[in-house]
Amino acid sequence: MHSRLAYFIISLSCLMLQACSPRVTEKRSQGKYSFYLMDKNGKHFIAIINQLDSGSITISRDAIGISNREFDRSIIVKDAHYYHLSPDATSFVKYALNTKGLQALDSIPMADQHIENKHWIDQRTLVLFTLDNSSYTHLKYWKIDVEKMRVLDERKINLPQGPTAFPLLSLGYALFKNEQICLGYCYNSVSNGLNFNTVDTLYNAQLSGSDFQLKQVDKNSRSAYPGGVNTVQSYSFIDKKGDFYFMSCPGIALGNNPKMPTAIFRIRKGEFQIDPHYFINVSESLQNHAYGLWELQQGYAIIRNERRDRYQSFADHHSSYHFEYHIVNLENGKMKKLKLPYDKGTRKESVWVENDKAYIAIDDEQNQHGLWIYDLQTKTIKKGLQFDSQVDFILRIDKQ
Amino acid sequence: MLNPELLHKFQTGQCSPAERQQVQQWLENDDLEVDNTFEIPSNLSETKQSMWADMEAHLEVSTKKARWRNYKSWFAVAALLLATISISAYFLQNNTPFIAVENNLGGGLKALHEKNYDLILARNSSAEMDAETGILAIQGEVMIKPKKNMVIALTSTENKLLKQGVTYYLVKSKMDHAAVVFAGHELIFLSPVLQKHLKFQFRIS
Repeated sequence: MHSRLAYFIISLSCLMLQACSPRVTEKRSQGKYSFYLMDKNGKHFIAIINQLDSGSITISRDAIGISNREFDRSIIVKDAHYYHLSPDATSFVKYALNTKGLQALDSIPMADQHIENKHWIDQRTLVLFTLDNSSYTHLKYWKIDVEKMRVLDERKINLPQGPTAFPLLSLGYALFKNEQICLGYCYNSVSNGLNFNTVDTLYNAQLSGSDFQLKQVDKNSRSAYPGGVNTVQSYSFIDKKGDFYFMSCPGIALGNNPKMPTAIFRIRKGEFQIDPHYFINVSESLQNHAYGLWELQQGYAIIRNERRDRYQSFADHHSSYHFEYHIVNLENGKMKKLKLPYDKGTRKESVWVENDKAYIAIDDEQNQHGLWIYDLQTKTIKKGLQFDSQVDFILRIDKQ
Repeated sequence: MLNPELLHKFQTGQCSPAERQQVQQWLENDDLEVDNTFEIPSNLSETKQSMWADMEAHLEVSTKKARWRNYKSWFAVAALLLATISISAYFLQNNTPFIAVENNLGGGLKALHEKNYDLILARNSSAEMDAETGILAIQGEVMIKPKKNMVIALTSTENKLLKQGVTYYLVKSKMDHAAVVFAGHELIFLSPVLQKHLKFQFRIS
């Protein structure tokens, strides 16, 4: 009798506890869009979102925490999988996201390399360009089947050595054409402290598409630091006509040769050299440098520019609210500023364009974090999805 | 949330017991928020007594005091006296007024483990810590990990709050006016060229 009574009381207690405890909703790990977030403690999260136009996201309720020692915002997202170098710099790893975090599925050896540029040849074939972690001069090409996680091709690419004073290499874009590959690159120097610089020239190398032999290098002295690390931010695109546009970034956040202008260049479809008649001088128009270029619609792009009068130095470049967004007419070079709050965060993949709308992620001075939607047809701007104030930076938006 | 006024009151001994508890809680708790508009008072060097050392003294006393209040009062008083004497001795002996260290090794790192912080110097780097003024003068690249929340002075007018357990990178070349300080999680915002350089200097993969 006593044991039955005890059983009854225990059962009742369990039921009451279950009824009283708050319902824990499952965090979403699969969906349409993947947002990479950093909170105010420097912790990293991925939030999976299905709707960009409205709604609110709370980090603690909705986002999945990932190790900030293991991952950063250079993570590659494709078809519900995530790709990143391993933290011990030995391999390139494929992950799946579940409610507990990113779980490693498979990997390929990739020792002591870092990724300078990525390019998807098709849905399952990824090309990576990497540099060694010791000298930053040895460029490698990797062609990877990401379904089987198998290296299809791996080879060194021999680019000419830079000027003696600029021994380091930076690869800013890789343009794949049928019979040739164009690589945009530059040379850098770094000594102690914050002393780093980029040579006053940008380079466009033409390589044979079959054996990767160097055919020609064009030097262009109108700007420096072509493109940038495109796993962190976009600096180039191919438009519907097949023309390739890229932006140079000599400002302090990338090339640190600020006397050179930020500029937009073009390589026409069917050409392999930078169009000598095309040059949009962003710095002259805005009196500022810019980093980040995204295609908006045919003939237009959106750029993210800094405001030199709103930050002090390297130290506060990422934490000051000074970034603006401009629409650039790629035909005549005219620029129109979007009426948005100043954004913070040096280099962010903060623009997503879909269905005649540009979604722009802003971390503003009022500690508001969310999307602003620019309607390409009506030219109006309104607020979209919002994040809670525990967010510090919305670092990237991807289609999951 | 901690703010400059409260910190100033704490430093000058004008805090109410509740305010003192708030500052002490902040000192002990790494996760508490700091007002975003927080600016460390600039008169650090004029006080002739390091705010950092001052906070440390208060923290040590208060921690021991709180713990021992639960025991018999006579023992608490005796222990508090002993603790005060010990802390005075500690500051006389261990809070080295001036530490200078440099690393001229051909590629290796040099570490310095102090009671309140760990320092790691990249090659061709140097650091000087003046406990009287709180000034940390560096050259090259230095990594610091405080074991307690602490305030350092980069110059006589530029101060920086460093939080317990967070790794900071201090970077300065000879031509720079003052070191630039980045928390570890802020490194991703640096130019890739600088990121590569710092990772190489500190052997981070």
